[in-house]
Amino acid sequence: MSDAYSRRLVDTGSTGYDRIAAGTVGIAFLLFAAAVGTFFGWVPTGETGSGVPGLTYFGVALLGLGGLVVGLGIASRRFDVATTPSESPGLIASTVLGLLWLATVGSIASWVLGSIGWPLGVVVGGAVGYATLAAPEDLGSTLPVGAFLLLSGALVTAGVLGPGWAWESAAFAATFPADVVVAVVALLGSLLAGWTAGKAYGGFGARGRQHGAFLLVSLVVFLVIGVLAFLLMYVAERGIGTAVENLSVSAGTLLVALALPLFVSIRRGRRGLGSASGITLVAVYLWLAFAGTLAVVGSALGYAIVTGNAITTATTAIQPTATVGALPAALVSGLALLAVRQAKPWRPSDSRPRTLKRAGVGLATALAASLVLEFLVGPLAVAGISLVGTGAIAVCVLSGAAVAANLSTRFRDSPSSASIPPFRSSTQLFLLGVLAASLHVLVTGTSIGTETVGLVASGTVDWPFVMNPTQGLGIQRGVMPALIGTVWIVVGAVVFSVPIAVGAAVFLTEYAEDSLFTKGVDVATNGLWSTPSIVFGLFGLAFIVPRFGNSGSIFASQLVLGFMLLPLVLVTSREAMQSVPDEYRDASAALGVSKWDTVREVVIPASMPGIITGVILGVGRIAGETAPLLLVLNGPVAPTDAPAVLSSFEVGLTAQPPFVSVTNPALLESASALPYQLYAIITAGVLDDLSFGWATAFVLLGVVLSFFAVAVASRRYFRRKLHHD
Amino acid sequence: MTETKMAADSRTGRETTVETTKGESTEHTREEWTDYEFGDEAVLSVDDLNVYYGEERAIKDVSMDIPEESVTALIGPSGCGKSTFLRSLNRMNDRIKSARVEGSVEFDGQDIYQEGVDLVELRKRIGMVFQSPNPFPKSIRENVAYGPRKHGDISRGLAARLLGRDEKDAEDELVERTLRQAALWEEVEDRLADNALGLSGGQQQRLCIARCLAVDPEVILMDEPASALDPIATAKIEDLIEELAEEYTVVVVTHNMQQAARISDQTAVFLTGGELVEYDDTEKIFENPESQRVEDYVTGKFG
Repeated sequence: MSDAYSRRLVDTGSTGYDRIAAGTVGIAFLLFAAAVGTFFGWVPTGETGSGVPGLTYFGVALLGLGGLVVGLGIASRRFDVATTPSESPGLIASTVLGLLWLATVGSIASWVLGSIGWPLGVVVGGAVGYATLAAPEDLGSTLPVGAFLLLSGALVTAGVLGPGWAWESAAFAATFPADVVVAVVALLGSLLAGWTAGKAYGGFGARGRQHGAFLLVSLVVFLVIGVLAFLLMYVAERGIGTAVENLSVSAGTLLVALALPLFVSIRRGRRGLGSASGITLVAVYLWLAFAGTLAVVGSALGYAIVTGNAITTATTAIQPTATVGALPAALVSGLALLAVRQAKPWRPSDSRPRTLKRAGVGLATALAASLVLEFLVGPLAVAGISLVGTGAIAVCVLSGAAVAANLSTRFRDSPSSASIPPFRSSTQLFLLGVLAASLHVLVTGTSIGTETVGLVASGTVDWPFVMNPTQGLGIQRGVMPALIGTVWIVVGAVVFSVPIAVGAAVFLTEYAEDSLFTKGVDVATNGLWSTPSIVFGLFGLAFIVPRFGNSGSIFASQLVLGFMLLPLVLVTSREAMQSVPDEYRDASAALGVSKWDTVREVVIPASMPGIITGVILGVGRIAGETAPLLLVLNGPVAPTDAPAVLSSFEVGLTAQPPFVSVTNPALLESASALPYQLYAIITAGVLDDLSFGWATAFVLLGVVLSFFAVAVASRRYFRRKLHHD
Repeated sequence: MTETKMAADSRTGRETTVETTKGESTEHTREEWTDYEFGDEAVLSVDDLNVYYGEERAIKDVSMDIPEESVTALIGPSGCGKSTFLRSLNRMNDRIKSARVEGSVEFDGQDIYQEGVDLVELRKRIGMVFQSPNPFPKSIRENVAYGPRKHGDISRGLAARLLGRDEKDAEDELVERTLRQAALWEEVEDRLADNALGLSGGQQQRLCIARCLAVDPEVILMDEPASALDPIATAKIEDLIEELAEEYTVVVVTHNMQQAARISDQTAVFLTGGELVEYDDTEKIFENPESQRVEDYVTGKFG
């Protein structure tokens, strides 16, 4: 009799009962996954290779689960099993199981007997509910579930709910074919079986309920992650083909781009190798495996360069040239520089001497100044030799030699000599040199190096879909203007609204006292946030567009989306500031520091992660916003006598931003945006297939996720500054 | 009565003078101890102070002089207004919306509640350390240098660097000096750039004291500075307070009577209702108080 057992203080290992319960949970999970799979067509429901309909397998699985669940309950009650069930499964479980049986019996009986069925269902459901409540927990929570599983399993296996059967509801005009009904029943059944078996695994009682609940909530989390991953994969699978069509990259650029993930993965793997255990050790090995894969890819690229053979697939190609694009090189070296500066030193003694630090700062300042000069005036050169380029190369060579010397002492385990500059500083100098050289190439447009090896301004990456506008019908499909438009619009909206929102939040939280006014502002803010975006669009078209050039424009879109972003950033910033402890304000006031200095030095830094969270959420919304852009960028414009606040806006610089060959000379010209283009492509219906749309959606997802990545990284940076980890 | 007296004396380790009778000790009037004067040495002089929270009076007609370069302890049961009184000495009560103050507090001969008082200057000269350690979520160095940087005593940052006015050396010196004063230097000298929230509670509290010292105040108000700390950290803070009294005027609120007896030169006893019941040399308060209520309180009979 199970009641004789008290709860085990120490779990000495799993018993046979535990193993059966765990196995039942596993089968339930598999059935759940299979049932989800039928909705996507991954799991066949009709004819299978063996000649048995797919549905029959579901029936068998349900039957098996039912048997196991009933067995678990009876074993706990009748046999010598260490379980500690409560007196009753509780009101919630009884209600749920009562309703389950009400629905089951009601629908079956009304199908067979007609309208009398539902009253019968109510009677049976009530009886099951009461019986469950009255029964001890191990029987009460297993038998109704097991019986449901057995009944539904029997119906499916016997072919009553087989292919060709359909449920035509009398209550509403709809027909549910058998495969949908069976999948839903299997979903429900697997959830119930998993929950019950989870309880049995914990031996019922408080521990069992904890296991059962854990199982259900973890399943929900997996479901959410699964939906997200599926959505991304679905879009990627359909879009990537068109998006990367005719993509061609030089192997050199790819090698440079690989350097950053290689660096990160080696670091991650190396750091945990000595100390990690369990899951962390697995993660360490995964990082190392990733690093190994990158190394293999890198050697393949090196091989391609040496032999001169291009690596090609049906639509993409890697050219066997060692030229590196200046923009990728600048991005990689800049990010790596940030990463090295942020990272804690590998060895505590690896600190930078002051002279070297000063030299680095001076060098960086000089390079930055000369780069600005080059941008404004033109290449700085003496006797045909470029000052910046030569200087940067010299820095790279010198610091590269220092890095190599350092590495060699490390591998030989010899004590680092005083004559070799520290590893960190020389790495930073090297990266600084690369950054300066690539910026120099970008700004001046002159390459460094020979035709096969070196830094070049452009041409190492040719990505037609991303780098071209759409031309004609099928000549070229591209998203470049829309991509640039989206980036500009989002950046403009953020730049416009975040300072205003944060300023308003500072005023409301720090200066204004709680009053009717602040409450009114709160209500207005929330109202603004829930205003439909098309209303913002209409407002933009009617009010903003006439005042700024009277045509659809990037500037108007930035303003409209900025208005939309405003309330969310305001609300989240306010909440973040309110959660800054008053002790900080007291401490600052007690030091005689004025309110504004306190806000600037203590409150805003402490609420920075919260503010960025607001920006992340807001950008996620506005980057994909279509409705207001539809009106603001391309709405009907009528002659107007509204005062023209800004009627022309020319960018005076001759130099063009990198990557952009079709720049808008003015902010006030119309542009496109990715979600808008996507809408236009899909609704135009000119193209016979939707691959263009999918590829656009793929790029849009990439853009939004990159915004996310930047924001999440900066939030992480501010969090680390606030906490001591 | 007599038994109580015995208990008190055994605590202070003195011979009992049982002659003190109930009649004698309670009949002393208020006037006798309010005459307790420090003459010209008083740095803070409180006159007829009343503090209200809304309608409720938290401090009732308190008058007292606080002498310089000494430790003054404020003791009393919870809710007696001693923290409110402390916060009214550098006008931190202004930060509480419902608080209203009547009467005067003279600091260096000037009423700090008159119009036109510069709160920034006042709080620079009368610093405060709070009950729970509250370092900013910044590095240890930034915590200490926070006040001086904001007051423009030390210029740091990019602008200062570009103008060639970066005073890193002055800051280094200041940080080291104040951290040494707060007896924290040896423990943190290798990790000045680490976040202050990574320190232990006792270290955080000493950091808060260093932060307060860095703006070079004349008076330091401490609101139960050791109540959130363990005995070892408390002992360190107490030693520190005694050392600070050589240069600064320290006013410390505590609910720990032994602590008050150990560290203070004079003690003010507040009892329920925000009333200052007795204020005298610490020895006198603990060995031979004038008032029966104070005697009951310090001997642990109530409160």
